[in-house]
Amino acid sequence: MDHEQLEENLSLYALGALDPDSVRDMEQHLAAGCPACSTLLRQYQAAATMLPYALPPQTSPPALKSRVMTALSGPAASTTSARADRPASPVPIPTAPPDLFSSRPFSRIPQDLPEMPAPQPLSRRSASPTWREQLRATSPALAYALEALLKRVSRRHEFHKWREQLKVESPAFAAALGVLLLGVAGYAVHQYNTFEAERTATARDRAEAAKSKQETADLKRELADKEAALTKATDELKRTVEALGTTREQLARHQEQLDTLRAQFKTGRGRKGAEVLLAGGEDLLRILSSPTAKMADLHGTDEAKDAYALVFVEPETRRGFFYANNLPSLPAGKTYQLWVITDKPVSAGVFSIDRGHKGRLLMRNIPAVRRIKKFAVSLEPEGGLPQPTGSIYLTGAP
Amino acid sequence: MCPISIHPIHLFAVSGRKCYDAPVSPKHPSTVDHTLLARVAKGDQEAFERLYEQTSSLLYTLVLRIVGKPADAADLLQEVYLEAWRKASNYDTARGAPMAWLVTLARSRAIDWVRALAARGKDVTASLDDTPASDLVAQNADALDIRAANERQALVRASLKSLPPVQQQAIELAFYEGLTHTEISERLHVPLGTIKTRIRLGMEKLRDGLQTLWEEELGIPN
Repeated sequence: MDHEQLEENLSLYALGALDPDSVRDMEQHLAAGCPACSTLLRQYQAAATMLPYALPPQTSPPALKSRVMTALSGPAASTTSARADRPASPVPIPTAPPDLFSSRPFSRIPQDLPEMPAPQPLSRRSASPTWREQLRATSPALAYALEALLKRVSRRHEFHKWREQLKVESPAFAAALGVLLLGVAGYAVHQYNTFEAERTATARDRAEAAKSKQETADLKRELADKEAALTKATDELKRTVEALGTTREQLARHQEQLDTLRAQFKTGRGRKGAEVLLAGGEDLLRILSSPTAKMADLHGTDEAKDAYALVFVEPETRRGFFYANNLPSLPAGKTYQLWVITDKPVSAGVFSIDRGHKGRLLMRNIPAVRRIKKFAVSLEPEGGLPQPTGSIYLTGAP
Repeated sequence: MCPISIHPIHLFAVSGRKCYDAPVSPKHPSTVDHTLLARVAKGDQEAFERLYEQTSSLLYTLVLRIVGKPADAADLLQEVYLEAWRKASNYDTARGAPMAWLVTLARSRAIDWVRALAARGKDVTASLDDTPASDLVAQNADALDIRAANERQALVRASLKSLPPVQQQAIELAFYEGLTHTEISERLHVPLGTIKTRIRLGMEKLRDGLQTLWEEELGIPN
């Protein structure tokens, strides 16, 4: 059966409307692992199990609840050890339970397993086929020999000759031969019956093997599912580890930058940075230590490939801190301008850079702080403009 | 912007990653929640009682539809619940929604029952008249559950009704009578291929029509 046919059968399978042969094909296919079919199947199954909602709702008998709850505390149902497979059934549940934990929804498998006929009693067996047929079935060589002998015997003249010989030679021998023939026939019948019983047993074994094959298929499918889940979890873990690595790098970089800032502040070098820190020391501290602060990593564009910047934004107070490094020196009459971009760019302030090519900006009243999609830095005429006009030097998203 | 979080991974989330706000609450509350079944699996009788309250009406409706007689339906349903109780610890959440599991369990047992009775040659004619009046009194279900159940019911009914009657018939014969497509074809004297097509088209439409419901049941986020 090709995949298209199998896929077409999925809805029937989900509804329990597939014939046993097709069920087997389907289960083999699903056990082999077909994610597309598994997904579709689950959808059909879910849709099928919605069907009872369309029925006029009946209310279960109020007494049933207490019956169920009482039965729950009964010896058969209460202890976890007894839970596994002990049916405590005052009601005749007719067939072996289909495996409800497999993805086979409304399976008829247990019912459709062929019933093997019980071995027939000897007397009935030996009554029907002739002993000759039975002998042929058990021991062809012996049968052949006997047939040949009988053929010869039945040929008249030979029979006469033979009878004569027998009579002449020994009547006792003739009688013994008769007894021997009867014995052979009886043995043949016995052999045949043993053979039949064995064949029945083999067939039963085969049915059992088919059942265990089915169980193996179920297990395989379960294994496949578990494997898929594991792969997914592993991927997730890998991604997390990667993200963590990036985070660590960033943290290290920030630490370095903070150290630099601190050193500059202490030694009095980089006066501009120190001034910024002094002016907004409290703000900066608050921003950097706030648990709700967000950070964006800005990368240099083609205009400034080595440049990078960090923006910390504290949404509660709408304050932020911007720090850039490796920006090119500003041409005369120009400034860098930081933009927050929501639907459109809005200026977050202008800044210049120091001799170490570092720029800093303390932001207050950041517009639309929760809707920021992107930050960008452009080169603008001194004093800045309401809309960006110059080349973009840095961009990054929070 | 990503949700504000103390966790550094979120704080330094790689740009471009899509972030969601708090999960949107579903339109219909889920029928049975996985955590409830997990508690049942651990042997929590209180949880089981809650499970019973949430599901017994639907399961009883289903079982009664299949077996026909209220007394039989009640006996059978008791067995179904006890089996659910015994097997809850084996239930694998990855396999599907708890409600689907229970519906499947109840349906299988009910169909087995009917087949066993039929095999013994007993009369299995449905008779709703046996229903005692007391059964028709609604059990404890809060207003939200009722509304959700009504919405679900309306949607499933509408979806079924939107099918051509022959498709609906084929689906119902398979689901409630447990017939295979071959058996349906024999019973209706309609070619096998036609029955297959009816079921397939009907099921496709149902799947599409009930998407919001099964997505919710399967826990697929909107």
